[in-house]
Amino acid sequence: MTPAPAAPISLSDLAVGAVARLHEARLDPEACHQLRSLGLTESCQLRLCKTGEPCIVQVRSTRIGISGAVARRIFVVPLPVGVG
Amino acid sequence: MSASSVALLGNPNTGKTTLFNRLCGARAKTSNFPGTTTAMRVGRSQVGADTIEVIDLPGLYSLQGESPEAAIVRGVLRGDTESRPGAVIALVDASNLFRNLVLVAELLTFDEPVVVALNMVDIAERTGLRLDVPTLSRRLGVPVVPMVASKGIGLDGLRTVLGSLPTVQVRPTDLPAPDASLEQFTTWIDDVLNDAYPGGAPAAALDARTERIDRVLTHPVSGTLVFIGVMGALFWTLFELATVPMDLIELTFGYLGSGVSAVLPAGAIRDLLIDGVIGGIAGTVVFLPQICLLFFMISLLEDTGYLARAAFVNDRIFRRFGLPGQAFVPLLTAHACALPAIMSTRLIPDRRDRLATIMVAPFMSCSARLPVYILLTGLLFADRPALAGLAFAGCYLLGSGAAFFSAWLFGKTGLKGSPRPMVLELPTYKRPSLSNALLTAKDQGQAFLQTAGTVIVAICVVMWWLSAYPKVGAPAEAVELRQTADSGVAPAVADELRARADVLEARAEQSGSFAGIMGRTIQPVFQPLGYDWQLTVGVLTSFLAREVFVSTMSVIVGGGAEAEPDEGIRQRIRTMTRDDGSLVFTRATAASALVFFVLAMQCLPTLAVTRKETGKVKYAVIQLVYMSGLAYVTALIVYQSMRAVGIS
Repeated sequence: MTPAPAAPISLSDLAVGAVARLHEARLDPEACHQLRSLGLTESCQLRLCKTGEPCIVQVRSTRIGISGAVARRIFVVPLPVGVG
Repeated sequence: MSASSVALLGNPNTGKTTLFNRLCGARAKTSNFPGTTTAMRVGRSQVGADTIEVIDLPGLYSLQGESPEAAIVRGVLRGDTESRPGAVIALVDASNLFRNLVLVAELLTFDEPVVVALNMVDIAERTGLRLDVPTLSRRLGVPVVPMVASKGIGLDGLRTVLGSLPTVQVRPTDLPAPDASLEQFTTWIDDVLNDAYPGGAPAAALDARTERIDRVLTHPVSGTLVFIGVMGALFWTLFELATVPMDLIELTFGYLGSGVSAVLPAGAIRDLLIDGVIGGIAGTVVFLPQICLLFFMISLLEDTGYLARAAFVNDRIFRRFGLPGQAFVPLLTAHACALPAIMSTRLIPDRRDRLATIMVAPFMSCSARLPVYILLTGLLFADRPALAGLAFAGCYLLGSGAAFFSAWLFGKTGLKGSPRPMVLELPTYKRPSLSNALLTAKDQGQAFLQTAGTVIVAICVVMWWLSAYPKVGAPAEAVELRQTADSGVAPAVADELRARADVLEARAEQSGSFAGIMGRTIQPVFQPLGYDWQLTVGVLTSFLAREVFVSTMSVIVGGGAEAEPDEGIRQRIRTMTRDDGSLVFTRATAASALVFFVLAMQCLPTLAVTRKETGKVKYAVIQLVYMSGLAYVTALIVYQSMRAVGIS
């Protein structure tokens, strides 16, 4: 039986080292564009490197520092361990 | 054929400045893109037998969006300005190819021929990335030149390609349409890289060293400690090291003034040249060492990748007051001098955040305020040095407090909004480039002299004229002293008498000058703050630069125009009297003047730089009116409150 896909959670609730897929960014259009131009595009895969202020994610080879206020409004779907 | 001009485009942190410097050497010129305050560097480079113009475009991640940088680059590529290039060099970081190529994909939708400069291939190879360059070139439909710009590797290949580019770009047939979304470009680049990496695009590995360093540098405690250490070193360098070249500059211009004085006969032209022009140029050039040193060190720090981490450390505190984390460099630098501080706000990407920082940076106590603080705290607590020391420290706190309060106030009023929540690329840690730092320092110094410098010299000439004219006759006492000196007394006595006559004449000149007349006229405005006409003259003349206050007061009490008067002169300032015989500097007046000097905008060069960096006169006017208004009201409250509780 295929496990049901995990529900989206806030990026700030993701565990360090976890891999997730970007679900949604509840931010103003300019902030969304900034994230997308840095590589955080729709459904992209990311790895959480550090939590807190700032939280650090890695998207492919790019490390991105994200302030806590923004991280709380980014929603991701955790991927099963072993992915990425 | 080769284009007559090429533009250099790329993401931030890809080595764009390094490649530009390699192509153009030290001969680049810095100006602004037409109608903007974004800096544009233009240089010349040899391609075969031709000399081509190289335009350094602002670093950016995407051509889409509303940022000023994206709008400028789109305008240049569309030919909206005269600076339309014949071709574009797209610089990409070979070790972070995916994100870099999304910008290239967007660029390919324009008409200009493109060559991709694949930089840092050495780092990519060390991390095990093996790229099939011919396949990448075929899929993108443009030449791809592998290179290591920092070592000059691949430059000849790039020049060869630039000499044989087609005039029109042929787009790959599967390239997304010009109005495609970032996601569509991303999908296309995914497909391109799956082809270009034998065996498919590799999964990005985590860099353990970067992980470890980031944990320390962005940690609330260790990150703050490292930040204090780094900024302490930067502050010390600006404060201490810059004094050597600054003293040399002052000495050189002093000699130049003496030389002109020896050659030209006394009169208005000599005064204009020595006190107006040479004094004005000296007053401008003296800022150069701090500006060059600051940008040299910022360039080194930026190259290492540290600045992005430090911005996050400060963001936690600064954003509560409506300032971004990146404001730490300008605000700290402003303790040395507001001029380089305001110029360094270019590090802040968001215009609202940049404006807020520019508007409040001059509140920080700069080095020019030091002699004023020393004089006034000494007058305030003449016999209690410990309290004078506390008052001195209080001045720094008051300045910083006013800066943060004003930033918060601007955020609620004229510059509504909060600082943009911080999202930054954390670049890989790298060894900084000394040659880049030197060229950046040279460029910024040159830009300062060319733009703000000319305004500052003009302002200095006008202020000199107001302080020196109209000429008044020598006072009777001075004439008498000179007659006695010429009557055959001993040479040492004659010299002393002439020196005293010089001082009396200078004092009379100050009093009778336009600035002196204005002081007497405007004095009623400063009456509620406890200032008499003499103190008002001191305040007015120091609108050129604060440190002038000390020399003005020194001249008024009959001393020389030294910036740091000796104890005898200080004693005379302490006991100087008003026209009714009462003391000028009571405790309440000294406190009121001290507060006024902490908060007032008394530096015309700063206003000139504010105008230049914001692109609008209105911000310089607001800065002048707001700071001086706040200074006036606060000084008024201090004076009247002290009087109300019986301290006069």
